[in-house]
Parts: sequence; structure tokens; C-alpha cells
Amino acid sequence: MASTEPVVRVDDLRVTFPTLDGDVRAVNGLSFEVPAGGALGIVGESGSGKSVTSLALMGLHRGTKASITGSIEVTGKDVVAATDRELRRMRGNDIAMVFQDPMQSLHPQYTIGDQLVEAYRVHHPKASRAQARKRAVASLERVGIPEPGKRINSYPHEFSGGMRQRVVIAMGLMCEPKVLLADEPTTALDVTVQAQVLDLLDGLRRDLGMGLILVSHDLAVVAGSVDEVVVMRHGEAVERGDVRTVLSAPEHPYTRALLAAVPRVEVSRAQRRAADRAERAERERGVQRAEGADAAERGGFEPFTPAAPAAPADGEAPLLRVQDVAMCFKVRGGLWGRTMDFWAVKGVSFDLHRGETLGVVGESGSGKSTLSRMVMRLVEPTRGRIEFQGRDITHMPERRLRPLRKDVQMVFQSPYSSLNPRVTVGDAIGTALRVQGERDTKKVRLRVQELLERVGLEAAHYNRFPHAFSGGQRQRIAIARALILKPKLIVCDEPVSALDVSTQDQVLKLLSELQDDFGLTYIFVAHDLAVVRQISDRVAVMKQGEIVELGDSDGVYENPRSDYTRSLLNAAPLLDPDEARRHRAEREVARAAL
Amino acid sequence: MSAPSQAPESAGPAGVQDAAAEPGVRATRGGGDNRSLRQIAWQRLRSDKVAMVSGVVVVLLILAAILAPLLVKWFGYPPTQFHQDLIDPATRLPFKDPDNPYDPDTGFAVTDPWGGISADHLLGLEPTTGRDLFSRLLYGAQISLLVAFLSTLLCVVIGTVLGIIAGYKGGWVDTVISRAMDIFLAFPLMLFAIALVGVIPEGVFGLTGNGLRVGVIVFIIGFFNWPYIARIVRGQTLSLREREFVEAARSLGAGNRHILLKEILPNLVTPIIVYSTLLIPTNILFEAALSFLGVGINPPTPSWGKMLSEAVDFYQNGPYFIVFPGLAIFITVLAFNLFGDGLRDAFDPKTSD
Repeated sequence: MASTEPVVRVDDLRVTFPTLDGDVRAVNGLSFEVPAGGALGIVGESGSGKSVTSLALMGLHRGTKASITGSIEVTGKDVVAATDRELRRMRGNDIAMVFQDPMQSLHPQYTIGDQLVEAYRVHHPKASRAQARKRAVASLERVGIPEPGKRINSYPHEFSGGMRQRVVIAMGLMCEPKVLLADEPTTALDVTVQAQVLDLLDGLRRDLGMGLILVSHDLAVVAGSVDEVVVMRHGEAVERGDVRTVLSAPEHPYTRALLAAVPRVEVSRAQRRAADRAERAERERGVQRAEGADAAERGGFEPFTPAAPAAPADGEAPLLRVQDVAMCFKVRGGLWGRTMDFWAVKGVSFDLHRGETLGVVGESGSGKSTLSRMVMRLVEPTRGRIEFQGRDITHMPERRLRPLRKDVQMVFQSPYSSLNPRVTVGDAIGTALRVQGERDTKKVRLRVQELLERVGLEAAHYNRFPHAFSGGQRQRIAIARALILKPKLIVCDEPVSALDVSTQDQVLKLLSELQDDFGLTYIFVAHDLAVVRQISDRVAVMKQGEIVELGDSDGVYENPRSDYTRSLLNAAPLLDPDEARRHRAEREVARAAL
Repeated sequence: MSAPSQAPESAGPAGVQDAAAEPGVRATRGGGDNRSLRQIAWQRLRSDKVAMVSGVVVVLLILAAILAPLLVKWFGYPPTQFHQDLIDPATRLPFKDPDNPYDPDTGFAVTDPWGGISADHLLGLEPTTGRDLFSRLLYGAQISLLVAFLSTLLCVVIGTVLGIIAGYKGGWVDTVISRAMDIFLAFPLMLFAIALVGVIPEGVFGLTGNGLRVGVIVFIIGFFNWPYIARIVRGQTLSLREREFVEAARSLGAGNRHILLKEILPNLVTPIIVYSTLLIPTNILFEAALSFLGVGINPPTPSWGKMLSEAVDFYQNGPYFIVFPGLAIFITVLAFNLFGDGLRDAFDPKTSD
């Protein structure tokens, strides 16, 4: 930060896309600067214009219909006015980009060595292959690829996701750019890997004195790695300033709301529940005052009465008992296309009591989704036993299972894929009643509309198609669909991971309200430690198909017994910049000790 | 920053904030909240000039075929009526001036280089017989389009049923159906058609004459072209089957019947419509080829393929006889193809607007 001239200066940037429904102003008057060697975080929810901004910085809107005004200067050169040739020379040389998905940003047909060498020789045509190769090995070594001399001949598919992202970063470093632009570099990665990649970026910035622009939807990802932060909304910067100031004393109400919505790993279930209930009571008092006698007049049909909220009684038989279940998939592969056994879940047991929430945390591939599908009996366990309300459902045939299905429902991960695009919202929710034998169309409709209102939508939404709704609204629809049969148990498989933080917060609130009202029991599966803590009474930590730790939520989070849980907690992104840096230092010590 | 979340600003009634929090979704959609996917597709289609023009051509063609008797009554002569008084018996070509057909100096007939186009005969006269080309072209459209539509319908029915079963069931069912598709696609269709037309006796299934011929052609085309549709339906079903909404339906207790008819089939309607519009021109060409080879419709009923094959005899002295049926096939096929492309683009969410 010692240098005088900023390496990136953006002034009054506007990016507009023409569409059938009129112009969309994706970025609307954005300005910021990055000093040499400084780090800037750009944070915003989906549709805030942060990715459009990062593409504009690279001049990647050339050849599209986007119209760009304002100025973007990278190392003193104007990106908007540059000729295509000048722009090509700048990319990689002055500013390099790391994309979100390391699975897609490397070419699958070339070795990583070829790709790194090419990245260098594009800008240094006189350099020999051997020289470029030497640089590539050095660059791979710098990003922490073990045995770079050997691995340079590997193809991208031979690396894990985190390693691939390191390779992409190494590629960005080949020409020693002045600025590295990372657009959601860790969104596709697991928590522990995310921490490693963020640590790497931070270390590189310090060692090489590069500017770093870190674009993310997650304030916590940015907090520990940048000096300055820009909070974007609707294409505008609502707040910009030193990261510590913005996070500890935000000025704009939007920033404040966003910060309040970020789930925090240090907040316990009890605290969160108390806060939610207090807030709800407050709100309902307000609504009652506003509506007054109006509510009494409505009537007309039987109200949707919830099952009596049940306090988990001691000594009561568990609602769900899972004993040593395992799931084996046949995977074709190996030599001669032989099938191999892959155990996605290897012997998991737990009991679940009425009214409680069991959180299941784990990284990708830990078997948590398979486990929830077994509980739902969408797949049949290879081994073990599942009892629901004392009945063995492990191998029950579909026909006999059908009447039981209304007691166990599921909320799926992707609100885009879990609703049929060709079916109206009303039909999608009402299907459940019809499938279970309800013939009275009018009754179905009333019930669906009632439920739509209960989950925070409008009765008039009945005839709309899913595409007219945002992700959060769709997830509400999916919740309504799961609720309509008045189930006892709802399995939520990553219900909020595809949502923005503020939407995520609202959906979590809704889920906990519904639990209070309907006496629901949840299995809540997620990869996000903080989210799981706030909703779960007990937590199961899964790793490679096994539960490594199962216990009371506060116990697991505050006094983790297994090393794996500890490393997960240590890797969780934190909102407090200083705390995040302390964790980083701890991780570095741990890594050095290895 | 380690205090519990207590900022009251974020605590609007649940649901109110969603719209505000996700402006991108709403902003790009304008106010069109209630539009169905089909309405959006229609809007896109309307802004696609090529698709609209070809769509209008398609509609006009269909109208012309349906209204052929009326149009012929107003603008022409019946398609089977001979006008041999307008034809030179020696060259079998139409006279230039039927009132003074012979050159007074040489005594030879003066034939029309434009094929006898006049106010009476808008597209001229057929060589030899002198039948009105305009009305033959219109009636030919009836046969071409009828065969194309019926055979495409047959393709769609067979292809959809088998494709959806193969995709949904998987396993050995899929293997059997997929191999059957390969076999049908490898079959020497044209030879089979010629052979079949030769051996089928008159009066089978209570059909005679042209009814039988149309039936046979429709059967052959439909029975051998269904794999094109089936492959697409199978592929789509394979991916739809894995979607979460299918799992959601299963977890609600829905059976296979419900999942196939209510969840999967509605998602197949669009690809089926699109690929049928692309299959129609292929089938038109196929019918023309069969008629050209003489195994199509019985004379004197006109068909485009037959008109082409008859015009071939005169390509040296009267090349314009090839032009009209050729042009008709060309325009029809092109219009259907472009319209099908436009439909696909309009329905496909991946193409940008």
C-alpha cells in the first residue's frame, strides 16, 4: 500500500444489457480504487452486478450486446478505450483472473503444464518452451502443488477441486500480473479447501505485492483477506470503506441487514431461537394491531390447524431410529469396465426424537445426501435398518410405503430443479393431496392457498409457474409442498445452500417458525457449519460415509472431540477480520507442523 | 461482531424481503410475473423475423392446400381436365398463341417459351395433356402435406411412447428399444418402400386406390422414422428422471403413472413439437421421392414428386415445367425448417434474447 498510484481505478462504471423486456442496468455508477499490493473485496448478493463488474475489468464484455460507459484503468491503461490487441496484451500480463468453477476453467484435453506454458508464451513469444516450463514448475510450487515437476504432466481431471483451483491461480501468476482478480474463487469448494485457497491468495498477495480483488457473495469469505470492501446492491455500491469499519460499524441499512443475516458459527441454537421468537412475537403484535377485527371476519373454511406442538418427552420411543445403515453403489470403472463397489455411507446409526432437529454436517462426498435419501426411502439401504414410528421401513415395498410417505417429507437443495417448470405452483403443492387420494378440487385449492400464505407468499400465486419466482420464494413453495400433508418429519437436504444470505436467513426463520407451529421434527443436512448450528439441537458430523462425531449442538461446536470437527471449525470463515486472521495464523502453524 | 443477530432492520415479515433481496431475478423479467413459459416463447418468436415469415408461409401453404377446390374454381381449371387444343401434338408443348398456332411463313407450330402462362392458366400448362399446372400444384400440396402430417404424427406417437419408456425404465428395456432404433435407422427404407408398394394387394384393410397408397406411404415413413423422435424423447427423459421434482413427487407417494404423465410428459411437449416441425420437411421430401420413383400416388391425382418426374422428360425444350413443383417443394421444406429452428430457439432458455 506504499505505492502512490492505484493499480486499478474504476470511475462511474455503467454496464447495460439490452433485453426483450427493456434495458437492464447491471452496474450503475460504480467507482473504486485498488492501491498497488492492496486487497479489495467486492461483496453482493446475486444480481448485484459484482460478476458483471469483474468481467468488465478484464474487458470480457467485448463482442456482447453490453454497453459500457465510465472508465476502468488497470495499471494506468484504459480498458474501455483499449484496442482488442492492447486488451489482449493486458490480460494475463497486468491483470489475471481466477474463475469460480475450477472444474470448468481448465481445458480437459491438455496437461496443466501445456496450459501454463501457453499462458506464458502468449505474452512472451520469444521465450523457449524450456524456459516457460521452468516458470510453470516454479509457479506450481508457489501455489503449493506437491511435486510440481511431476504433476506438471497431469491432466486436470487428475486433481481434486481445491488443487485445480491452485492450478488456475498458478496460471494467473505465470506472467506476474499486478492484479489478481478472483471471482468467487472458493464457492465451489468445501470449507477446509476454501480456507486453504483463501490462505494461499492472501500469502501470494503479501509475497508478490500484487493487488487482489476478491469478489464474493459471502462477507465472511472476504473479511479475513482484504483491506477494503465494496458492498454492492442493484449495480450500485451502497457502502465502501475499510473492512474493519464496514463490518463493525456499517453505515448503510443494507449492509447492516446483510451482516445480521450472515449465520454465525459462534451463535448457539438457543440464542438464535430466542431472538427469532422475540422477533416473531413483536411482528405478530404489529399485525394484530393493524388487522384488528378483520381477522375474525375471514373464516369460511376450516383453518389449517397444526398438529399439537409436542415437547420431546423423556422416555418416549424415538420417531426415527437408524441402525447401522450403509449404502453401496456399483461404479463402473477400473480395468476392463469392471464394476466396483463404492460405499457412500458405511454404517450410520442415530435416534431422532419428536420435535428435535438433527443437523448433519459434512463436506462433499461425505454421504450426507445419500443418508437423507435413505431415510426418505428414495433409495433402499444396502445394509442396516430404518424404523419410523416403530415400523421397519428399510425394505418396505413402494405400495405399502405410500401411505407412510405423508409423514416424512423432504425439502430439496436446488429450488430450481425441485419444482417442475411446466406445472403451476398450485398444482405442484396440491399434487400431494391428490396423490394421497383427495378428490375435492376446491378443497385442495383452498388448502394450498392457505399454505402459500403461511409460508409468506400470496394466495394469488396459485396459478403462476415456478420461473416467475426468485430462489428464496421457490424454496418457500418447496417447503409448502412438504408441509401440505402435515408430516411429522421433514428431511431438509441443503435447503439454503443455493440461496443468498438474506434469503437464507428468512428461510431459516420460516423453518424454525414452522417447527414451533407444527411440532415438526427436522433432519437438516448442510455443509455450512454456522447454518447447522443455528437450527440444530444435535449435530452429526460426517466424513467419508461415517459419523465422526454426534452430540449436543453446543457441545460439538464448543468442545469438539474429533480432530476432523476441529479442523472444520477452524476453517469456517469468520466475519471478524482480526479473528479470521488469527485463525489463519493458527492454520499456518498447524500446516508448518505437518 | 460476535453478538447474536439482533438487527431489527432485517426483521421484516417473512417473505416481504425476498423480492427486494433478489433484484436480478425480477429485474430481468419486467412485470411478466404471470406469463407462462409458452407465453414467453411466443414473445420471443414474434421478435424473430425469419421465424415469423416462415410461419406465415407455412400457414398460407396449409390454407392453400385446404382451400384448393375453391381457389381452383376461381382461378383455374380442374386438375384433371385436358386442354389438348392448346398443345402442339408434334412437340407436345403449349402453343404461344392458341388462336394462330402456326407460323404463316414456315407452317411450323410456334410454342410458348414460358410454358403457356396466361390469365387463364396462371402457371401455364402441362406438356402433352395441357392440364392446368396451377390447380395441379395446389392439389399436389394436399397430398404432400397430408402424407407429411400423418406420417409425422405416426412417428411422434411411436417415438414418444417408446422413447419415454426406454428413458424412464432404463436397464434391459432401454437396451432393447435402443437397439431397435439402430436397426430401424439402418434399414434400406427406399428399397423396402418400393417392394412393399409392389406386393400389397388392392383392398387391404378396406382401402383402395389412393387411400391405400397414402396409407402405405404414411405407414412406411412413420414406421421407419420414429427413432429420430424416440432418441430425443429418451435423452430428455433420462435427464428429467434425475431431476429433483421427480424425486419430490415420489416422496409425496406418487406412482410411475403420475410421474410419467404429469411430471415428465409436460416437459417433453416442447421438444416434441419442435422436432416434429423439423421432421415434416424430411417426410415431404420422402413422399416426393417415392412419387418421383413412381411408387407414390396413382395418376391422375397430382403430387409434387410425380409432377417433377414428368417434367424431367421436357427439361431441354421446356425447363420451366420443373421450376414450379421444384420451387413448391423447396419453399415448403425451407419454411418448415426455418420455422422449426425458430420454435426451438424460442423455447430453449439457453439461447439469449
